[in-house]
Amino acid sequence: MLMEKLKVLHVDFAGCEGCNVSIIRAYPKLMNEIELDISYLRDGPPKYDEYDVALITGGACMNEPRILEELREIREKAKVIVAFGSCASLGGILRFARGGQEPRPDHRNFQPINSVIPVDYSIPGCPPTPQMLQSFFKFFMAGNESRLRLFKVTAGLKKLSGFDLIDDIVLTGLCIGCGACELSCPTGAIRLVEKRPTIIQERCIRCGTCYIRCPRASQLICLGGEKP
Amino acid sequence: MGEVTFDKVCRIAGEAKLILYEEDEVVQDALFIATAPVRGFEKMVVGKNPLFAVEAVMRICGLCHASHGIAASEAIEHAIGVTPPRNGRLMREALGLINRAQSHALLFLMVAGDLIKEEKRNDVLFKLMDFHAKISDYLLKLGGAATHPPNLTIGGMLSVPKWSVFNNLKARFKDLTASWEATEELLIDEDIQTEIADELRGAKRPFKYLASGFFYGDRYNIEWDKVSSVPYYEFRKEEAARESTTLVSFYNGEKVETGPRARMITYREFRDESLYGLHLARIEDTRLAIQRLGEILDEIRMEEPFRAGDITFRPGKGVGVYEAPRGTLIHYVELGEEGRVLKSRIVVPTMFNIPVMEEMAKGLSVKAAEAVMRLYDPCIPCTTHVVRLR
Repeated sequence: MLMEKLKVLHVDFAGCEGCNVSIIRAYPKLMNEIELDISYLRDGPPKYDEYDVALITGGACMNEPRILEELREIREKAKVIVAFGSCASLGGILRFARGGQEPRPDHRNFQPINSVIPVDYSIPGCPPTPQMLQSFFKFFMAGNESRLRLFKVTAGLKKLSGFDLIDDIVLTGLCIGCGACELSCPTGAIRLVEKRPTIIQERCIRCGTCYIRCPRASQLICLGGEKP
Repeated sequence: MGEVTFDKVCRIAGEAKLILYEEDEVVQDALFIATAPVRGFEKMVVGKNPLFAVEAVMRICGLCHASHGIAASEAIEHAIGVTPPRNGRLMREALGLINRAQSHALLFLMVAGDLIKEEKRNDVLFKLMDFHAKISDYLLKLGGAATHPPNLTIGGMLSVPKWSVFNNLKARFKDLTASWEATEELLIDEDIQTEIADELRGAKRPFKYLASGFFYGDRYNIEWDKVSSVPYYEFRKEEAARESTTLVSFYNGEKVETGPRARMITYREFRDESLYGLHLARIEDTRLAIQRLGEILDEIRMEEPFRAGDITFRPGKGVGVYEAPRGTLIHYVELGEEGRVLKSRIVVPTMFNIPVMEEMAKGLSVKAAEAVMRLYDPCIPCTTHVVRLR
């Protein structure tokens, strides 16, 4: 059956471009299903007035009213909002931003997108791999809500980090020592010591990837619907 | 005099506004105004452990992540008096060169819209995507991730890939080179290029260049005291410039161009000083980076260490200079009590290049001027995270 391509808009706010590269790398395999409108490939402003999905990368600078306004406009324009990457979904490294830097010392408060507008799905990662986006769209097109549940629940969360993983999973005795957290950590902040993860505090950037990748933690938030 | 405004320049890394003042279709002056918010990485790392500083500055930019990681590590090593062992230094060079090729590939993808005829554009894009995927896999295997490689750290490599990984990468190297050669062929094919490319070929613009090395970068080729930075709105007094969120930098008080062309002219026999030469220099830069990567893979000795031992953080000052894809990147760091970061300053290549880009646009047609902005590969995420120097 021939389906119309999904219209997907990508918008970046104060991101580092890492997520954008991930999106562009995922695109060749998604070309038959989606039409991606990304500033890397177009000439002028966004092509359409309405979109099926908007992928948002980077965090919202709360001290810049223009950005908050733009975010609200995108919410109007797109049926589904996906926060892609840790800055957009959970704050990530931007949780450490505290302003005071010239030429704009007033830019001190960065928040994940769901602090400004309702978000439908969040895909954390620093950056998430291209495969993450490919499987997201695979399940999204198939309407497979159970597979998207984790992304949906994460959309309601505002922060997650290695510390939450230790508190909620390791210290409560739920950890099975599989090592998924160690493998997934983008900064090498988690090491398995005697089959249990330990966190190297100065390396954790609060991206939340470990929490999402932990089979126990993801089960917990999916079943309970919220973070314990 | 007419005014042409591009509210959001497309196909560049980050958010920026471009204003061109033209007379009879010829650009007289240009304002390049970056509008992305300032995330403040220099302030963010103050009071933190240097290991956090390296992870954090890599997140300044998703295009030149490894470059920031290398420059920051170099600065911290300089401050605490540590040198990575031979393997560590070679691996770092390899990660940086992979990063260079990745970043250039993406820029070629973005300028394809200006330089390559529409009917051929998709061919080039697919070739570039293929090459980008292949080179990114090298960073994934050697650095631990295709973006923000976590293996890169102070003193050398945090974890070392197995010997089988090296063998596998060496075996696939031919494939990587072939993928690049196929791409290069299309990129330099003048028959499929647009009129803009022709116009740029005719625009000879020699300039003052700044480069500190060819493959790596060298803190002894740059004098830190000669680098000065001012907010963009102090450099350009126009009303529109007030919106800008960047600083611009000068070396010895002068505008200098940094990047692939500066490297090629300073360290290689490259003499094309036209604006199109910038494109050619970048192609050559990529080719040499891949070639050097092949050499490094052969030079790694698995039995030797990859990281310096006995790393202790203590008070000190250090400068790290690295040749990032876009040019000379400088990190300055001061460590205080317990070896925590006391002060951090970062000067990125685009800060040097913004005044040059505006200069180069003069005398071109509007379309070519817009293309020139892209050719300089401005990196807004980097540029908007930098503090004023005293």
